[in-house]
Amino acid sequence: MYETAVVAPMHTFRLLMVRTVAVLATTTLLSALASLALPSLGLASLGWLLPALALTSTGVALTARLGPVLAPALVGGAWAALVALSRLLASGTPLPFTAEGQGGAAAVAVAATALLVAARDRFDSGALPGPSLRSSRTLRSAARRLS
Amino acid sequence: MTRPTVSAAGLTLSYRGTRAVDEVTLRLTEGVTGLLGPNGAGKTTLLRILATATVPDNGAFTVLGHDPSTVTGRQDARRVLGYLPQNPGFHPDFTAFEFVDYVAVLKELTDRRTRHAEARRVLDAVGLADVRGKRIRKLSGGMKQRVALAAALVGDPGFLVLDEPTVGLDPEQRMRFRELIAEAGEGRTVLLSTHQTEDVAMLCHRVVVMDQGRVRFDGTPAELTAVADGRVWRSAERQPGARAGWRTGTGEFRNVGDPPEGARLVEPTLEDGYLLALGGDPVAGVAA
Repeated sequence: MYETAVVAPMHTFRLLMVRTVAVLATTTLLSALASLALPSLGLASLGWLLPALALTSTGVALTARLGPVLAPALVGGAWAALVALSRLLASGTPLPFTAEGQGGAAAVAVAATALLVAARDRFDSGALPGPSLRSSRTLRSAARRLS
Repeated sequence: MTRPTVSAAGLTLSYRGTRAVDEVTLRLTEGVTGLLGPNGAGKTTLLRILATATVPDNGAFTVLGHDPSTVTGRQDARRVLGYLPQNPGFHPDFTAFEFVDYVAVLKELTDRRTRHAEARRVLDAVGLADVRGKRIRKLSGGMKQRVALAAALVGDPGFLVLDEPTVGLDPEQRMRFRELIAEAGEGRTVLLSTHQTEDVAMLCHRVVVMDQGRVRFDGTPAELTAVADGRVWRSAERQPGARAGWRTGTGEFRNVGDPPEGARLVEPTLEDGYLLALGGDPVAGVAA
């Protein structure tokens, strides 16, 4: 079914977003419900929401340039390193779950989403890989000679 | 001369240092064009380029006037083409109707009523009206191929790309599928990749032979057969100088190539012309 979807006129980015939003909405709802099992934490139990959004948007945005394996691997690794480092350097609430951390996560989510929208054409399988414009010009001038 | 519906010039694509498609130029018109070639000839790669599934390293092409080198051109081209890949792949739990309906969504048929009517239309067209609600995993190989063809026909595309659609089908299934392709070719441009010269002989008004990424022949099936005129002969023993030779059911050998003096020449077939077209320089019949 991959190739069938690849050559469909629906923009690959749109299809990706439909699937991402569907998964995100479902997992957010389920995880929020699971958070109710931690009543002693209060609102802090929802502190994972913004970091999760930041990680997802960053991972998807980087996928446009690094591919669907390397991008999430790097993002996941960076997150694990950040949490481990924050525990080492300070006791108490880990950095991502402090007010500053939440603000940072929100900023990363916004920035990553903007990057993602700017790079949306890269998800189209027919799009040229990398930043080269030379091939685009060659193809367009050759197409003009054809018509 | 009939105006071409699909034009390609100098298409080139390399994988890991190998030129899978090497300076391919061709013009397709309405009707069924056969793309013949051995494994590794570059047929699937060429089809994937023309179906906009992959981008060539060099060259350009247009599909029904749309230039896929731009984002909007690519989307416009995809709206007028249908693609049946070599390995279609299906979600195992989809019914035939659900799969075609899903493809119709991808083809931007967002209105449910219109989309369902279209799904029923294409499934009827391929003779699967009675098994619309059946899960694809329970269908025979021939029926699965017909589901894939139905999906390719959604939206009534003007350009159909079919990659070896009759592989693995028994003779009866193949015959039925050929009939569907012949019907699909009416008023439409169809590019059919196949190993089977019988498919080309029965369906195609034109044939392109590819080998090692290059076009070796481009003309009519009759012209391809004529390539072998005077170059096919029978012998009692294997002929080492023949381009190709094989033992027939009668015990004699059929040979293709440059016949020796006094050889017993026989009437050539399309397959003989195809064998001569493989390898070496392009044979007579290649369009300038």
